[in-house]
Amino acid sequence: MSRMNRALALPVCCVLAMLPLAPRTALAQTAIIEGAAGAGTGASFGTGNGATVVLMSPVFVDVDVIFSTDEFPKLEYAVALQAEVQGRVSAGIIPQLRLNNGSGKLSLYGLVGVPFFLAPFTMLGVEAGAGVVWRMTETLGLYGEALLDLFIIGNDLQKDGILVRLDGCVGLRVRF
Amino acid sequence: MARLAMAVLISAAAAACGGDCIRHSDCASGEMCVAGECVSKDADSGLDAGPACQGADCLDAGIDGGTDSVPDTETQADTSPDAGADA
Repeated sequence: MSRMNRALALPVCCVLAMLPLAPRTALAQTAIIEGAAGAGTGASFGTGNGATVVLMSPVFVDVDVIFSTDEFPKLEYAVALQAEVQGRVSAGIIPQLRLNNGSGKLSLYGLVGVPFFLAPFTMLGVEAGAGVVWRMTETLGLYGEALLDLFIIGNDLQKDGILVRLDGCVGLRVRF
Repeated sequence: MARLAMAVLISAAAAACGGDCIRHSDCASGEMCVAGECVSKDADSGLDAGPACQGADCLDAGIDGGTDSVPDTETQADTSPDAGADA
């Protein structure tokens, strides 16, 4: 074997030796994708003429796509599409971070998000909430969550006004 | 179920509290939410309906650019050329 061949053999052998490690690494990061769909409503609080105005929140529907990995399934990234369907029709998107307490039959989770309504008006805020998932089967579950939203910017808000929403949402959750 | 019941109770309580609006979209078309009340978007369009215009030609005084919709009762002569369409 020439000197050049020996020089090439070393890195090739190193790569070959590391190959068995590669699939394990990839398997450890298998993506878990779940979907959820639900509906909810609650109470909206806003500023009035020297008093707090309380109204029923418009009924909304939520469709979520939830990503996590089997390496750290407790941390979930979700994108929620929300549409208000009562009194008006609007569409918004809510990127969320969720942290759950495990993958048992009944699991609890907390979430934070940034709700942003896009059309026909704009509203931007922050969101925090907590929920529970009851996994009836391997792939199908029921969920319920309580959400606290604070909207501070947007052309649907009164001048110098804010909107606080305390909502509940229930629905189905599916693991693909 | 407990959460659902809580949400229903909260909603019922909220509906009972009443109030006019929080967001502009709470109001009917053509209205906007101001200080918790739905008001017409045209309410402050400059027509001569307010106290500031009573008895005076608002167009001549430069208060607004609208058309006077009430009979002009002023007695003092205008000091500037009248470009309005006084009734």
